[in-house]
Amino acid sequence: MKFDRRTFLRVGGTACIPLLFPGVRTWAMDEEAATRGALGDRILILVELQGGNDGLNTVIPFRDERYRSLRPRIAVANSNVMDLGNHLGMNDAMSALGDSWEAGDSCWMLGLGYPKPNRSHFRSIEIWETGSDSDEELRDGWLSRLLEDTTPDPQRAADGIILGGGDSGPMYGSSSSIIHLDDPVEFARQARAVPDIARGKDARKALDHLLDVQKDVKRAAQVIEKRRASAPDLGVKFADTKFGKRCQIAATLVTSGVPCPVIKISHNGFDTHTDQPQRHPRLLRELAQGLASLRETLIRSGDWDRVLISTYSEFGRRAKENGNQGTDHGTAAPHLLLGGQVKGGFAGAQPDLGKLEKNDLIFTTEYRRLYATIEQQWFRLQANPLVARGVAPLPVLRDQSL
Amino acid sequence: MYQFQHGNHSRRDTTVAIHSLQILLIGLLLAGSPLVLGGADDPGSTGDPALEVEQPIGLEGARHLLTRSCFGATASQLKQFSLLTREQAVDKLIATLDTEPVTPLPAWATYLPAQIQEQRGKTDKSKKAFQKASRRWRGELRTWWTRELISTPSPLTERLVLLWHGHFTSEINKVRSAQAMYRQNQMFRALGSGDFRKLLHQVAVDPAMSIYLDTRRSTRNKPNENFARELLELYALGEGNYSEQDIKEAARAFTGYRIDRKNGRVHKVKRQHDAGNKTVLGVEGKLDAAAVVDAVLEQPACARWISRRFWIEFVSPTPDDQVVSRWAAQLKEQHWSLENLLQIVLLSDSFWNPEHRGALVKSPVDLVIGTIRSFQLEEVPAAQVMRTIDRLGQELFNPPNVAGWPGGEEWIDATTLLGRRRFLSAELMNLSMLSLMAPPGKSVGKEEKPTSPIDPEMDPGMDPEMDPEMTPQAAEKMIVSREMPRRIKARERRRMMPKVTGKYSALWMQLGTDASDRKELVTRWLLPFEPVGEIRNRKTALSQFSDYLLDPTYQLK
Repeated sequence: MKFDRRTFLRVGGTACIPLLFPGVRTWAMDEEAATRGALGDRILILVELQGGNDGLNTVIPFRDERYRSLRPRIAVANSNVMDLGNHLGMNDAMSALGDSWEAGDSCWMLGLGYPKPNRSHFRSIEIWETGSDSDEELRDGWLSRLLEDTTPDPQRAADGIILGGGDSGPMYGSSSSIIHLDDPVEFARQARAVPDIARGKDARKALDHLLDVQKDVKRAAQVIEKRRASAPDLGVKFADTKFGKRCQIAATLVTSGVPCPVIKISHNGFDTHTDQPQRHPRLLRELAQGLASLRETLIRSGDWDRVLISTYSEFGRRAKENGNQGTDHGTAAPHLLLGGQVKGGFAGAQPDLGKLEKNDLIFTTEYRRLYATIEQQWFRLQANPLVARGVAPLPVLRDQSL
Repeated sequence: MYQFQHGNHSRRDTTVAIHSLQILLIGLLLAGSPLVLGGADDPGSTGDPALEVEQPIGLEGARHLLTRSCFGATASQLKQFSLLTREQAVDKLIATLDTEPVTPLPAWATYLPAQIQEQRGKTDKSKKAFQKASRRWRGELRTWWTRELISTPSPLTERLVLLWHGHFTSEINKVRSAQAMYRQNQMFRALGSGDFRKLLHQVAVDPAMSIYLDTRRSTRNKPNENFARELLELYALGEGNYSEQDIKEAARAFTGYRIDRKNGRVHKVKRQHDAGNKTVLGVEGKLDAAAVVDAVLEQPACARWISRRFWIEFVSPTPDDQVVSRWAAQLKEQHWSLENLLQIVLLSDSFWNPEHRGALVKSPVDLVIGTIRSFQLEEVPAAQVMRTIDRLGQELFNPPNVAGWPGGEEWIDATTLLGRRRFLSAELMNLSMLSLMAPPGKSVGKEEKPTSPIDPEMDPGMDPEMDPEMTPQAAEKMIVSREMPRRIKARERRRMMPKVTGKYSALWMQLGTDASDRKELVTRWLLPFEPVGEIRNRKTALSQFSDYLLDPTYQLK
């Protein structure tokens, strides 16, 4: 069955949703639920691990013999594993995040995935980013749906800021204003020259898109420029990598108080079909160093409690290695949550290496539980049946009573 | 020597049949719905669509055809085409199709794997030197194609090469070999308007592809699914037209294909190939790569997928399934001739439907190469142009992933929007200056100084390629250094400014006899419809052009 959000609504408005998804609470029918409230000053930073991160070499079941027999050539040696307890360890390429683990503000969510896993990069990232079922096609990103009916905030620079390339992903949707930027200073300078042109009456889709981007650019630039002066120098060093630089920009945006609920950072290169023992640790190291510097900055600036960082990726990789010292496209994977409000440790269960399906892991945690967590516990919004589909949040945040 | 089989272009005998069929079809279709093309924008339109195909396409029609099938057009090319009928105009374009580039190839481009291996050597030192050379080759390859895009007499050919490059993707960042990427690029040129079946068969055994999607390392014991998956999902059928099982079985068929070090071609190595029984898309047997490609070509989805690709490239972002199916049927009837498909598309009502004017967003190549060609700035350094295109999000030879550039509205985001404006203002000014400045020549034969500013004292009439003393190596070095980005010193800027102003004034004056004439023509030439921003009366031609170029509608085609 194929339908996008528009068809969804045309069929009979939101009221029909609870009928389709029996688990959904019926408050969605209430008129007043149309406005789901303000987001406050909380920020979500999403880190996309592009290409499909190999979960088994990230959070490693190092005491499980089956791990080594599935991966005779690419298994991470015990000497390169940081024991995290629960028979699991972290690839020590990520040692920069050791402090965070000690401090208890990072959580590994284990075995995230969905039934009938799709192994295509494009389809699977689409599933993750739209929040759809495996055999359902949705057009808009899940965050775009989440933001759609929250109270618009005129102070906001943009609904989302995408750092350093990559597409809007979970923010994709006609109603959200998204800013892509590489360098905030240069961005503000150039935006000043853009003229103000309103949309015309004749609806030309491509032209309208252009004019919308122009408008978004001007607004965001004004806010970012106004705030820039107030960015404190907190003396944290960022690694001189693409990802490190992107983390640094994210840090500046947050500490200077640019109002924007979502920041997305991409980290590319995880499609490790070959030479994984060389490539994968480098990717993890860059990831951990970037996030550790970002964390340190936000702790020093006092923003750590209002930021939640989450990784995501289209899939994990095949449990069994391939013939090229690499791994092919797989299924479930662990993802990392960081932030001042994060309850450290593990959530969910590690997939069983003894129970594989086509050499792949079987997911243990429905991936939209992460979205439910972000929606209901991080942004403290009422559950929108179109976002998390009635699944329960994960117990990963400290202040669930707030 | 590595040789590609050239497409058998028996152009003339089939096109006549197509034309009459096409006209008949247009007539039949429109008889039922006379309003479809009503309100067409030719001044001479009688409102009778059947007659319309016999009318000259006019300036707007010419701009539409040329910006979509080529890369921009000069005002005088536009005027020439405006006088032709659809059929004449499309015929004229199709007749330019070629299978060879005009830009001279760097010597390394035809090195074979064995030679490259030898050059790489075994010592750390030789390997390091090789790495450096190999990096230089990759840069030169990208520059080479940029030059071809700027200078080709057949932009339609290069449009197709670019289309196939974005369709049958390979990323040079993964492939690493400039030679393999060059061969793939040349394959798209040689077969890009030929027989699609040949093209698909060649893609399956293309060396760059075998590196990019890992078939060269796929063995019978551990088949790698990468190529099999993308063949079915992205290259030939599209999601929903195959099963996971088809991928697994096809992957077995693609095992054992290796690059031959002597001739650089991909061949089947028996002991690595899985010769067992397989079933792919309903075809059963001891299938190998060619047999799987044949099975794919048998699927009705295949011709539709390719026709759909052409719709998205040439018509609009939203394919009309009925029309696409009709094109697919014609493609098969015409023995998979891509040239015929191209002709069908460019002559179709869908292509000419005024609703689709300005419905496509220009790609960075469209915008940058199109502007350079429209304003005749061909003398610019190609590597500088390439970097601009890179920054706007389209690294040639290096699409973002196996699905190619997403294109359409995705070309425009906050960063690229600002980058595009910068290209159309400051960068265009620099490129205009550079195109009027003599290329650097002094460093030839001596040490290469790619970024050295040009010497203003140099005799601008001197053409180093005419120098009988010049060795081929020195000539190649010269070409390379001439294409390198150059910074313009303040002193040169002052000297060049009047020349640039003069160039654009002359261009402006040639547009028409009075101001309103000129404004009319410049709009028809550069924009798909009326400008939406403010066009003021400017003192200089340069700033007058600038108003049009910076209008958001210039980003559309």
